[in-house]
Amino acid sequence: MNHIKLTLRKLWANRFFTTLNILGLAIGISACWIIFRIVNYELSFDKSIPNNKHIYQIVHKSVFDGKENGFGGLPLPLYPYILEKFTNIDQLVPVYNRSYEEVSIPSSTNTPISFDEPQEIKSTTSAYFDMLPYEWIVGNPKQALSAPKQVVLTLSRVKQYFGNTPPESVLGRTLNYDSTLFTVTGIVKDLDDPSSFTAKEFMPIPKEELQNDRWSNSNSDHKLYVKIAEPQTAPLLKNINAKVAEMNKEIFEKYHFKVWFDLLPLSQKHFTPEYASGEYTANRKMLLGLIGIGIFLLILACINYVNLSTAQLPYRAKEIGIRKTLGEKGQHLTLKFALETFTISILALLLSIPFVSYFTWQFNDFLPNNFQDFNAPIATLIFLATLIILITLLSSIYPTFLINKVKVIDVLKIKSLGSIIQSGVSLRKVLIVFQFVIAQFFVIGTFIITAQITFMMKADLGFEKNAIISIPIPQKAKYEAPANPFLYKQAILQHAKIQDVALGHQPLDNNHWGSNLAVPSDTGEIQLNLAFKYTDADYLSFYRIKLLAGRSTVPGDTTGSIFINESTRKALGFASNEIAAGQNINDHSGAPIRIQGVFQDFHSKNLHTPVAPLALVVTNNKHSLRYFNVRLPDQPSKWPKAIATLEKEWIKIYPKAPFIYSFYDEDLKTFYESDIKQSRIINLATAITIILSCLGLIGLVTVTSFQRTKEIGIRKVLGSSVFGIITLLSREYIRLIIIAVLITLPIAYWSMNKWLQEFAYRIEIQPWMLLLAGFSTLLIALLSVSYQALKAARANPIESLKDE
Amino acid sequence: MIKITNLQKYYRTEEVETVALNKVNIHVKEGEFVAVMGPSGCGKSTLLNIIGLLDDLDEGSYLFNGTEVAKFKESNRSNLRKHNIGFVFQSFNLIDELTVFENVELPLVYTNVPAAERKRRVEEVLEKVQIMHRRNHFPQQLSGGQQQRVAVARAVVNNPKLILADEPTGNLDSSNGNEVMQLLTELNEAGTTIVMVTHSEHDAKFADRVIRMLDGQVIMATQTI
Repeated sequence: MNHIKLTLRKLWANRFFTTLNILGLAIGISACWIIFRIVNYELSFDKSIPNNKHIYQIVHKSVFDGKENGFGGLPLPLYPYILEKFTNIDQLVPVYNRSYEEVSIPSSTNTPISFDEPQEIKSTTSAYFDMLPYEWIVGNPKQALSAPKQVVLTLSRVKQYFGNTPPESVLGRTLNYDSTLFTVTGIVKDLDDPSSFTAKEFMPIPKEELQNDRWSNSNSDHKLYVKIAEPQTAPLLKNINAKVAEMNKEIFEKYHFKVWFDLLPLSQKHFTPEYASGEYTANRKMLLGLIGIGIFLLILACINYVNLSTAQLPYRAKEIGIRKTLGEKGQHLTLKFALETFTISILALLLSIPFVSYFTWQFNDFLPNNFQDFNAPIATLIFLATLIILITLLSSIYPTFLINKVKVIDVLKIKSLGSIIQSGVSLRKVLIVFQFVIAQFFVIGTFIITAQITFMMKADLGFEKNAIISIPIPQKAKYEAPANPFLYKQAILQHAKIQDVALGHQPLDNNHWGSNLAVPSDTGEIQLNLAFKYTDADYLSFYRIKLLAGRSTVPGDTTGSIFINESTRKALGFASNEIAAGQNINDHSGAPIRIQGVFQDFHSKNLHTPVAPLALVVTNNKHSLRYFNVRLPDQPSKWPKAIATLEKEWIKIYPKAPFIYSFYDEDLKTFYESDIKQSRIINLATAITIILSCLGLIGLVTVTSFQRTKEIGIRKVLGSSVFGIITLLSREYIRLIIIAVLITLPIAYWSMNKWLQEFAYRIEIQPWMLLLAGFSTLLIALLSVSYQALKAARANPIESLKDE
Repeated sequence: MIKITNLQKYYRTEEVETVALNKVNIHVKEGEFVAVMGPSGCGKSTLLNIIGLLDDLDEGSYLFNGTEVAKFKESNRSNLRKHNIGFVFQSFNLIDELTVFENVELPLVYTNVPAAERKRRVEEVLEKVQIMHRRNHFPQQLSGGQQQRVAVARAVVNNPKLILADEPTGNLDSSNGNEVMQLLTELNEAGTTIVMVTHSEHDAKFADRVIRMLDGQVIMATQTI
């Protein structure tokens, strides 16, 4: 108890260093903790499934054009075939995706409650529940899926559909899936541990899917799992591969195509994205990278701790000397120091709790979906305990070695305090340079990534994107929308507040159809596969896309007309826009089609990719058009009224469809989501490395300020200004940082250039960006040095020159 | 040159306030050599620090060459100090990393004297204290007496009007001590005012006048012959 009291008293007396130490270690611990949680989460996938080493996913492989491809989807007849031929297989579990527009709960009193497009609905058999450790709440596992139109729900789905109704009362209730009624025949508990099996609703496999005999068709909706003893795997594969080859003989020969099956062990499934379609997978390399980063940050934090605590040694040398004179043993001093380190680590651990929660809150979108629900208390406890012990050991070794080296006689004479710690200084300088190389690298990264993202956000995309909102055209049957989408357009154009309306795909989005165009040429025929966007006749003028040749779109262009961009014109081999306009070419079916106009290239994909050939086709079909694009008045203050008008007209024409709109310039940002995400991670890394580096720097400057206390005093007495002293103390560090900056510049320039290569449209790295980044690092470093330097410079020289 | 009236100086810790100097009145004329004597802890070093503008006073007035400096800011004090006052310490306080020449040169650097002029003046003063032959040595390579001669050279290189010496012979044997006292006497005879704190009655005899202190107060001012 007394030890702890003394330790706490000592830590309090050195609050400044204690705070730095706790902060540095807390950053290291937080990073390790978060990484441990992620790694542990990913590695625990499918681990709790009994006998998981005997479970395999049957996967589909193919060779086409000499390229081997893997695919998780299978032909439907495979399941009934294996079921019939192999009676000795433990379990054979088909998992087929189902999708419904809407699920509603019929009710005699009120209007039914409905849920739009619920996910995770699968068709399977009772074998699913034999293979996986589901706990049944109500219902009979053997019978629950034995007849058509039965459904088994998980508890979470029951809660979503029925609220707090007890499971017993839900059993036997009916659910309406797009006008087909299903009866709830069982309720199971959701799987607690992370798993590739995430289904929430289970239905029997429809009869027609069991009778399907198209061996040539594979769909990623259809997956098949098998639980089988290892020796039986080879005969199974041999048999089904022979069968698929036999059934597809004709097609395989005709197209030089080959398909066969393979078994993917369940333990590998979570790390094999090519066989997953929809299931969440992880990247093993990325996990290893994360573990590496964790270890790296931990070492950095420990080194900082060592740095800072050796920096304090001279202050403590006297105490150590006196204790030694009075007969205290070296081991005891070692233990005392280790206890201090341990206490600091514990405090750092406490501080890392808010750090970790802040991170998981702020970076939630980086983390897997069910991550927050996954707690492994025992594993976490063991991990953190090991971590603390490791930190205590790593951080205590060197300082205790130095403590034991302290010579009593030197200390009591206050003669060579400097020399006690001098030996470590040059090593620490190397370390500081190393830390700042990393920090500088991230600072440059932050600058350039930010500049590139700003560039992309502000880039002229070749079309007008401001003050435009997009409303999806209602497509679902239940919305009972009129077939003619132009009714709404005409209705809203009556209002002066609405500037302009055009129907069609947004100019930059992921929606388009692909098709072929063909032009006869000297060397035969030019075939071009390109993206088509469907629009109405007002599209070009609405988006202010410049027409280069020919005429603009007119309502009559719905058949036989096409509008192409300049890239298409070049790809089709026309010498100029004027020549291309008016030419007759062929569409994918060989039917003639006339190029009515050529418009200027605009960005139809984000700036990662170059502008590609694109064609616009005018249509009246509401399924092809997809969106109402509406231009609002220029002044944002008028928008709420305009939107209210849009909604008022909406209700008249689409009373059953929800009025959903979004601002197009906001939508555009989502195309850079992964870039923005990347930049947030880089910003975080920058902050961490800068903080750790500065902590190290503060440690070093404290040591040297101490060593030079007397010199500073003399210089002050002789007339040096405070600024002169700060310069004297900082000069050395500025030199170190400049060395770090010089080392980093070429590395950062090279790698950031490489990063920029991913963008078809990118900024050029300007010298000022590198200089500014270098200058910022220097400034931050100077600020962290200046506190100690200023303290040393302002100290009263009388103190340091005392002759006692 | 120095006129201190009703000087009060306290040292405060969290709970206790100690009076270091109590109602001290001192008057030092230009060209005087004054020794301050008294037992350890009587406040003589504190007084010297205040005279040297290294420490501030809590109450009272301090006229330096007719200017009231009691309320001076650090930057003004520093400026006044570097042009007018030279210091000699018991433990010499030379900078270990600098040579004899560089140590002596330092005050000239801080008063922005041009390099050529600096060289001339440093060499002149090194000749005067007879240490010219050691100009490129480092302090650790010199004997105590030599180090103190370097410290004196540094104190006078800027031609200060006032030299403050805090037990200048405390770390020296008697022959080396005598050399240093001789040096100070010569400087005084050349017109420099000297205030010296000392324990040694022998050294005090070199001074024109002795101020004796006890418990933060001046108890007697003696005229020596």
